[in-house]
Amino acid sequence: MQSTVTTDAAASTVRKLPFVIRFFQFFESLGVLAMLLIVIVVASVIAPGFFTSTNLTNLVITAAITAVTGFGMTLAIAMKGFDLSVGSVEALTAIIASSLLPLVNIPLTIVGTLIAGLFIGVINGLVISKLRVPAFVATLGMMGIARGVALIYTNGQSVLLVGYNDYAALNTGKLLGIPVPFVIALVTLAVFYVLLQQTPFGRHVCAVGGNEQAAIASGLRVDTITMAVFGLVGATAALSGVMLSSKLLIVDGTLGVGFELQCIAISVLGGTSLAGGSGNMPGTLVAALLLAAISSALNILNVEAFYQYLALGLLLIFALVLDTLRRSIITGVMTRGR
Amino acid sequence: MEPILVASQISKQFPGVRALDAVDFELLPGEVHALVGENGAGKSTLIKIFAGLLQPTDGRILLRGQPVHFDSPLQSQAAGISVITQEFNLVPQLTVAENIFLGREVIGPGGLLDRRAIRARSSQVLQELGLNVPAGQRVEYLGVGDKQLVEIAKALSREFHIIIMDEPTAALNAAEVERLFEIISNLRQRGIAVLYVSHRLNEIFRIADRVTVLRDGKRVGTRPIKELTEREVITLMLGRTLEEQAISHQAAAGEQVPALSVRDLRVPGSLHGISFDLHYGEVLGCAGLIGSGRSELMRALFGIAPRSGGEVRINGEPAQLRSADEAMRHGIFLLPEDRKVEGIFPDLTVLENLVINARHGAGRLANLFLHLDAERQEYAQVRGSLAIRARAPSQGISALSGGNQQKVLLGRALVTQSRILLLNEPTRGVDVGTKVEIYQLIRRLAQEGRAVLVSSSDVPELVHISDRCMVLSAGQLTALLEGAWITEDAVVAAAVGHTT
Repeated sequence: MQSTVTTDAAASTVRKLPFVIRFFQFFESLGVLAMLLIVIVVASVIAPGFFTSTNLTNLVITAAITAVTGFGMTLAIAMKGFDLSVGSVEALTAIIASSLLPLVNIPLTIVGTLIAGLFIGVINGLVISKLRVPAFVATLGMMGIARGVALIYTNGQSVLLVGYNDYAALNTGKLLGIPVPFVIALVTLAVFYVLLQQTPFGRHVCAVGGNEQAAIASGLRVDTITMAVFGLVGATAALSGVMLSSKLLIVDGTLGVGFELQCIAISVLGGTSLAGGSGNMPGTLVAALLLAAISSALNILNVEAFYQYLALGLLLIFALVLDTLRRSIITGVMTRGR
Repeated sequence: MEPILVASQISKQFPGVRALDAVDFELLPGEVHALVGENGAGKSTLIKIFAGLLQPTDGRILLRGQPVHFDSPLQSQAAGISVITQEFNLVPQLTVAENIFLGREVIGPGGLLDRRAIRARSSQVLQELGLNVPAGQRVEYLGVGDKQLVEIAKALSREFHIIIMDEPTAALNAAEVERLFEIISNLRQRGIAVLYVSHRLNEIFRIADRVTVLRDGKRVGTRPIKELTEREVITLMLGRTLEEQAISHQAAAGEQVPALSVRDLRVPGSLHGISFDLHYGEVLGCAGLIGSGRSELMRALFGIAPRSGGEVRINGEPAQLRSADEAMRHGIFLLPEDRKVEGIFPDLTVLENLVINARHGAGRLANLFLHLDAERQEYAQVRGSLAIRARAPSQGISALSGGNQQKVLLGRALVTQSRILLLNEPTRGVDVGTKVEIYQLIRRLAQEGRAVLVSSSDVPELVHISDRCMVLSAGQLTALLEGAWITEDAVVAAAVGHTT
């Protein structure tokens, strides 16, 4: 092929998309951010103590823990899959981390725990790709298995982390004024963003999610991609497990119940479509902050926990309706334009 | 000359069906070899074997004389075979450029995608092929025609010595078809072997050198195209001569009041003021290129497309037609354009597909339960009336050929006793033998007193079955032809905007 290309010709073949679609693509990226800013402003006004250093730090840390696994979940959703086991894996890996801590140093603890999460994720991927079990069902099974293992291993008891001040610093420390957990979340965001948007692997994940048949026909190894993606989700759940254990300093097998729903919620709220084929990583982080902000505000206002469930559910439905609406408007505009 | 690709005694056995039976096939470099046959004859199966999507149960494939084994599409592509598939293998959420280079991405420093290079090279490919598609657009925002062009570009952008094209012109307009034929000529000159599969015999007679006919999984003949006429090819495909009964065109002696009376109908972006009448007892054809508004007209008349103006009267009474439900209550039936997506319920049986709209007795309570006996009777009646070929009412509808599936869908009109039929592309993807049966069915349905509007991209078909024929071009009605005035030339001229 010749290497010279006339850029004029290339530019002229790109037809401009109708305004409505460009508006929606813009909204997709910034909508959640706008909501977050609104919530912060409103909460600062009506909830005394919201806009304090302590509260904001807590908020950001909570968000970070959810966001990390959220990135993994976003990757899975881009591949048109779900991982319902992340809550149980978070609990199990928190326990694994707590068990490794007395035995080895902190870096090794973290690496060991991540490998454990990766391992569990790859098993999920194997069951899904080789045994042809739908992701929903396979990870539902792992949800039970992982939690069962966690409870059996701890005999239903809690594991206390006393005196591990360096480990606790993972949660309380600050790097350049930013809480360490949030730094971890930002680094994870960078990694996953580049992975999804800038690598062939990311394109392949989107291809499998967008049209698996086309992916197969193009020679992509769908099985390998599936195992890799679920392995990564497991690893992110493990990272959340590490962060959680360093925060609570007391872990047991009942941690992380409902965690998977939160992770799915922040992916969808952040602009990732459940139809697969694309993923919005930065949106996931913003949505995690949004959720944490709402939770924090409701806590300060002494609203009962049930209302928080309600709030989460309503938000999720709102996000899904928006997603569906957006897609039908786009199809409408595109077909009308012909 | 040595053949570049040989299939030797290839057989493929599926549970209960022998899709291919000891088929011998060879492809010479630099030839355009057409593959024809009715649906179910084995064309798709043979192509999938060449593409590495299926493995033969018997027989060998030889590439340049060497036996080869394609366990996956990757191996077939590596061997220099490129395939343009009938179902688009495109990822909607990725751009045209990303789709073209899927699996062969250009990588920059650090293992990251070189987006600019991918975009530039795909623009180049599209330009070289003379295909006007924006490389940076997401595929989900493209129309069907453009998607097919992307599919073609994708196949042509690889290194290949053999290219297989499966119904490549299905969604293309006349200009794009010409362009494709130019490309094929070019390929032929470069010594590339082209395996061309199509239902459109006129295309095959234009560009093919040789033609192989498959029937019931067996090869019934391979001959240079010059030695055959279209009738002879059809005879080979069917195994019998086609009885084309003279189709009688009666002047509509039906009721005075038109079934449909459309005035200044407008659909945003597609129709800019269409007016016509549809009478009981007649077949009104609707011709026009893709994008002329035919589809939207059908959908608007069925209540599923947004109208921005105009009036529709049914039997003289004005009707809003805001939903399919309302349209059906007025006795309107729509045969959708894409039966796979909008028509059949692929996981249900033939019977279930047929009676899905049936209402038994008045009142809501009566319809809470299934009326199995009544349904079986209805099925038997319709099956006899339309000559549907199915093993049993309990057979899954996906097992039927395209033509028989269309008959089942047409059967719904009988079951619901609709009097106004809107048929959108009634013979798309239907084999030649069943096509003729469907033409006769359409005529009969009209003669029995129904009002039939047929929209089709097959002009000879419309010429054949219409009493009157209207032609749309860019959302306007450019001609309304009657009787002997309905000729292919007149229709095509009006379709490209030539008003008479």
